Amino acid sequence: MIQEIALGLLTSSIAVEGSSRLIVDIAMYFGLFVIVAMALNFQYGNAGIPNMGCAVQVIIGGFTVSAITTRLIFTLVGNAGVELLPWTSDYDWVYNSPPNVNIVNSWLSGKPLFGISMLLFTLAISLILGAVIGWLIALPAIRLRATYLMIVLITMADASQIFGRNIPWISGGTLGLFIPDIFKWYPGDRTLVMAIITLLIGLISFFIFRIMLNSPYGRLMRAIRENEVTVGSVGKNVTGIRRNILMFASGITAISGALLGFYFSYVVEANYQRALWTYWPWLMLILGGPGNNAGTFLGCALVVAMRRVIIMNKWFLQKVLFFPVAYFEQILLGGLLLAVIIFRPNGLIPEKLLYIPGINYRKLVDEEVVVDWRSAPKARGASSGISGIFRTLGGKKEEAEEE
Amino acid sequence: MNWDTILFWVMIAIWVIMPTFIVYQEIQERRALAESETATDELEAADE
Repeated sequence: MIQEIALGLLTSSIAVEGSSRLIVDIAMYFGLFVIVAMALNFQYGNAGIPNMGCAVQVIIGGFTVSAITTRLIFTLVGNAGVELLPWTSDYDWVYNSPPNVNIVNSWLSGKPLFGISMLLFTLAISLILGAVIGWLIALPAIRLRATYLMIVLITMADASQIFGRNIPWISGGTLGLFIPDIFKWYPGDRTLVMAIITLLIGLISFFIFRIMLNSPYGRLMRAIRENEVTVGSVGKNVTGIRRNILMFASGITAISGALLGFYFSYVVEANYQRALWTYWPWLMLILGGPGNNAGTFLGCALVVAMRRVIIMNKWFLQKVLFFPVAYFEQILLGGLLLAVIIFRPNGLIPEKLLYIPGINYRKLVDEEVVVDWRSAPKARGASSGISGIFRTLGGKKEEAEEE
Repeated sequence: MNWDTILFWVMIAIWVIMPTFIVYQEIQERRALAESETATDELEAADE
């Protein structure tokens, strides 16, 4: 009975089929990986922080959906007078998940405002928790050199999955947990709505990263990447800046984990594997070109399309390949990484200098700047700076003498 | 009304607009930087 409900939940509200299904799937994964890869580009491409623990931040987004949002929805629905099966103990939380979600879904079908508010709540909480995890990661690791930092982050990615696997109240342990369908009110395929929302969030995060990179903070990040000792020598707090970058990018990355949870209406730690959420984004970044958002986009588009096509055509590929098709993706990942590093180490679109918007570079270079230092204090005004204060005092003295 | 068809094409439109816009921005930035480089070269040539 429970198995039937679970199967029904997984396949409900999915009407798009065939090649359209593949396109929706590619669009969704493209949106998710764009968010992760751009956050990674922000950290590694521009600040030189080799974050090999992207999976930690993504899994935090997934855990937010399963451990916080689902509990909140159950509580609110229970308070609204709907009778749910017991869900407070670990056993009930896992084994009563399908029937409870089924009951909640039927209640959610006429409440679009509730569903949207739950989505916004989840995004906000995953952003905050992602940033907190970024801060926690930064505590022991940010002072380490690149190699050691990478090792620590890889370990943390595995540790987060082990937590999810062994603590049932987070995401149902190895069985996973069903998530209420917050788009139950939509009279069609919910995955289409999720794909559109994910693509829009990807676009918004592109703008945020672009604005940050073209600001003085972006130039500071590049300076830290090139030579952190020099930046430290001019009085900048390199550790603090690196921590802030890690926190900000972690928050953005966590959003993609939450979106994935809603897309599947199901969260299990196995969906957030280190290989999928760390190494593939790294391949996208290196393939497109680090330090360059357009390159990251291109890398994402190529890799995601290739992966989804392989997954969808595994039956055909099995006939052609001489080894099990299950290994094909991993072999491709390793082979592509090596090929890119050997033949195009700068990626398909190489990095460029930072662009300051609103500045006419030609005019800036062409025009002759005439600075008359004698007139500068007058131009600055009487009250600015220490000299201005003395001048003001002097002016008052002169006025008193005149009187 | 078939909402799925409408949303499908909205999704495709976003998917097309997004990279187009990003490529346009990238070209604009690269053009501005190339212009500044040319201006610097011209200025240096004039000084010599």
